[in-house]
Amino acid sequence: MNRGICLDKRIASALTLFGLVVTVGFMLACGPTAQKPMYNWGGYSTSLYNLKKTPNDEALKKHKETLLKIIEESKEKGLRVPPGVYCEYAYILIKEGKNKEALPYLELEEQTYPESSVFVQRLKSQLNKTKEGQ
Amino acid sequence: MSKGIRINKQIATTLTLLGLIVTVGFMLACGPKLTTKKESFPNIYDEKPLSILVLPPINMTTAADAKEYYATTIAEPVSLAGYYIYPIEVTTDILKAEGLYDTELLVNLPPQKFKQHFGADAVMYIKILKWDTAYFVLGGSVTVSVDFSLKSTTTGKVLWAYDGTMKIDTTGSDYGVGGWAGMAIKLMDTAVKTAVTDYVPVAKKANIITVSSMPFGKYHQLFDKDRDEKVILKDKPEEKGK
Repeated sequence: MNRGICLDKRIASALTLFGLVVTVGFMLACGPTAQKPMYNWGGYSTSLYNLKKTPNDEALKKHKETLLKIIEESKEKGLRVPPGVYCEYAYILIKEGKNKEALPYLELEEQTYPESSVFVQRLKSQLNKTKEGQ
Repeated sequence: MSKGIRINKQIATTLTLLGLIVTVGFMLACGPKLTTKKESFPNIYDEKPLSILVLPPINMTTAADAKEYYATTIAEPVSLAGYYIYPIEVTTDILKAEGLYDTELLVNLPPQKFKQHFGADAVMYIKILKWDTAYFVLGGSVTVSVDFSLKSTTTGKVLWAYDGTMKIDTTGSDYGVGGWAGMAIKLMDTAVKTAVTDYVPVAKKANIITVSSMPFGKYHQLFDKDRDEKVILKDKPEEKGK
């Protein structure tokens, strides 16, 4: 009798273990929902839409803040900054005449996405032209 | 008597089986035709583009603001499909500066030009087909319909093409107020809801529907592993090409 209980217990624990393994297996296999997101786009489309709807300084400032927030939060979460975000931020700085501030962001875009090189080089050369003009 | 029942049972089973076969047959014949991504878009698997230049959308609707508003929704879904997408805000400004914001000029430009100027592997043409609000007596809806076509800047071939439509009902909820009073409230509510409903969330859903058929790009972990994923068959990209 005693032994029977013992066996039952063993079977029970074996079954529990089996159940756990199966559950974990399922979670690993079927868990793309639980995966880390590819990018953190934050409030990008909302602040850009607001900027289009009412193109004023306030909306531009908000969109700039959104871009910076995407960059910072992506770093915190260990995610790659979404394509074009560094570049768009740099572009706003250039339009504000802050070429020096803009340059590192252009370089970050190129480092993160080497395929952007032709495009970034083109922006950089324009930047140099305006610098010479100043 | 007993035999009669038995025969009836047999007939019933046969009929049921026949009905099943017919139903399944109909489903296969009349349902949406499915193919694989590889079968539908072989060119994209051959060329494996990484960087995509999205051109200013081509507005086929009468809504003048659709072009600008729609453009704010496209970077996210294309990037999440695994592609490098050039910042639309910046590229649009550059194109404008070169006098290329106008739709017809852009469509007629050979795709190869965009390789030289931007280094893009592929160029995306987007048509906004519908950007509508509809009012009915007791309801309303917002519809956004888009058509995408991705072309290679090396070969000029269509790599992927698809379209998607999203319609969202803006009819007000039931107030439980009966008769004409209830109807009046409902009418007012529908008008207000339809007016304030932004198109952007509807456009985003239309994008998701459309981009879900796109083979994944190099930044996606399923890159080149989605050849056998099923998509609903549409016109062949070659036939659709401009």
